[in-house]
Amino acid sequence: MSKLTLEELQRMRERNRIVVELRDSDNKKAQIVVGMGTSGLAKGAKKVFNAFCDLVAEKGLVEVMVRQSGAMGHADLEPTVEVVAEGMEPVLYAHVTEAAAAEILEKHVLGRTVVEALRAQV
Amino acid sequence: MAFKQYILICGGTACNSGRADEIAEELRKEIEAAETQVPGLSKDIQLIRTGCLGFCEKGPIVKILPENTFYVEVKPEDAREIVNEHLVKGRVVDRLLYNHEQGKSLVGTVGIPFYQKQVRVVLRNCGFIDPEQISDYIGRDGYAAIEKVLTTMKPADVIDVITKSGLRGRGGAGFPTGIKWKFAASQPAGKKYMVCNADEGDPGAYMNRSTLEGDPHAVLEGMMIAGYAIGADQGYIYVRAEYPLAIQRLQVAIKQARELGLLGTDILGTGFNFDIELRLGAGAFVCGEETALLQSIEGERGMPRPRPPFPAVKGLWGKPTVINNVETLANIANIIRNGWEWFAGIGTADTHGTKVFALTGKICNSGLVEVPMGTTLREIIFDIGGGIPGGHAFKAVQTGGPSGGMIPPDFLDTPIDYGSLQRLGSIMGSGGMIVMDDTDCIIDIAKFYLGFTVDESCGKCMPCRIGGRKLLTYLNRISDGRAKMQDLDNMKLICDAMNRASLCGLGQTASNPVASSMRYFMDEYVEHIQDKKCRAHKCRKLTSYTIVADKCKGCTLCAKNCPANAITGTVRQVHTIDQNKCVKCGVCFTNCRFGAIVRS
Repeated sequence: MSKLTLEELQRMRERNRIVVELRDSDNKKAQIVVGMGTSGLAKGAKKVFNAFCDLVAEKGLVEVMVRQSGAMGHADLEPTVEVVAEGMEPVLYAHVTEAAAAEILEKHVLGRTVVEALRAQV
Repeated sequence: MAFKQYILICGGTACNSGRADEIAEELRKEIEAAETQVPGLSKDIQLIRTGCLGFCEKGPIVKILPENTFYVEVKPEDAREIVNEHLVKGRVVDRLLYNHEQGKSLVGTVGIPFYQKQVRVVLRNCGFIDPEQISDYIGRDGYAAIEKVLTTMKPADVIDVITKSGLRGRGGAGFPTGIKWKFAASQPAGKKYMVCNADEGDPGAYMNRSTLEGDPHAVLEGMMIAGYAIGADQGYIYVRAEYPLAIQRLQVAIKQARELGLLGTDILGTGFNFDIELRLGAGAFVCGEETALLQSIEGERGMPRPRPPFPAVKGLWGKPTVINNVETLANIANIIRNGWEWFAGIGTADTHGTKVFALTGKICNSGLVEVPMGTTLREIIFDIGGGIPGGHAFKAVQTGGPSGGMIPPDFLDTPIDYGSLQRLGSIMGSGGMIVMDDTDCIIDIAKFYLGFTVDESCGKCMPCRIGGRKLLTYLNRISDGRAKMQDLDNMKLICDAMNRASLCGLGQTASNPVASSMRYFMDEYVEHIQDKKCRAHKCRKLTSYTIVADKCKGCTLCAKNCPANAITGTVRQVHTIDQNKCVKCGVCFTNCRFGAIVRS
């Protein structure tokens, strides 16, 4: 490693701020919970979880937390994802795919509009 | 691909002694083993050894982020369940949660009373970063303060900000930090030194240790800013040799800072030069006293010298030197970044900011706490500390270590700051807070502290060398039931003499435990002297254990456990204690299931 200039220090700070804040818990405004019970996993919930994680990290969305939970019930609707955004009601999504994950992130978490077509019918 | 989950394992010395190293290793092994179930799992999870989270009573602590699950009292054997249930299946392991009620909560420490009233700013990074990764520190605004200072502030501006903030030395004396820096800065330009006092000698105090172990860069950055302000290009951290983990973390931090050019010459291309070296102590409490510390760095025996001249004028090798405590320095970067008004807005008019306390003794939640100045003793001991365990009654709290005083229940609602504690006959000290209950004997505690300071006295000046020893002799007489009431008058004279005539703070304050206990607990002194009675049953010559014949069942449990073989008797016959052999340890008393042993 070589000696940092001012600009390099600032860039290093920005890069690492995202790294540190992604794992922090106090600053979160939205939670994306992916049900990862055995049946969910069998239907590809892990890929959905990874998709959310990668997108959030790519875009540096430090205020969004992605976590897994046990089975949520609704085995017929899996993979299921619950989105809890600040100031909005919690919404359960069904049959979520990797492509759907991107849409949910864009429209619901960032755009604050529920994706009705993907909402679980319970 | 980014990490999906983070496991932070407390890496402080206390949790390490609770096998935190093994926990980390077992977690790593279990994650690898779980790859068969979930391929790629070890790439998704980052294991981080972090700094002291403070809740030492419930350690070892393991935190899972980002969901902020707070696991307490974890053992290496729990690693498999944590990995298979929580990491693989997303199911929180209930039995490892604090009071098991946290189940659905997403914010891990909100429900825990220990953390409710704390304001962790000095300790802001402890428990959040890997202290051995400079990039973690930088990601949390690390080295942003020195950047601001070097690019937008003149040395006089820095001193102005620190002075206005009202920061007072956190090592115990509480001298205004800005004013100390100003003295050194106003000396003619030339070689100057910046020293960090990391000797932390008070028994039971470990605030500085945790900061050094958990966030060493905060101290480095504070020193750099101080160096810039006073015109010094060389810093020394004097750290006690009994802190090997802190030394190691400091060495790693200094190495990483040097690699990035944050220590050395032409820092960040601004022309500022500053470097830091470690100097290790060798077990002398007096070397925490600033002038004795400087002697020690110079290779001399650690003995204080008269002041004036003060170190800021003539210090290390005769050059202007500022010495600041670890906690004082850990506040500097925060003040520069957040502004002096932010700091001045916390605490009381007398004392701004927060204070880190090491809460120990007879307390439910022992650990490291940080609170705004002005928090009351009652809040710390009962709200944060959870009160006294075992249904015992609060008797007193000792603040300030061997230089401090005992504070009785009447003053529990005192808001803590430098002034209020001084008026009570104690001091803030470095932050040690030891809680006592009705099973503690005041004379016994005073003896402990005097025994310590007599042992550690350097011997240079008569008031401390002889006065301390005389006080200890008197205390031993009182404890043995051989004292007279006039002894108390002599003790008061000696306390006063030591206070006024000792060369350094060690001698000047060594009598405080005696003076304060005589002020508030005179009845216990009188009881020992006139009634030859120790109500806490601690003073051995004033306590005796006897077996009540009609309650003794002859179970021989006491005899089996007696370390002095002082109990005789055959099975199912009444036993007796030989008073000549008995060492008054009380083991028989605690073990007897029939209440057949009484102590008087």
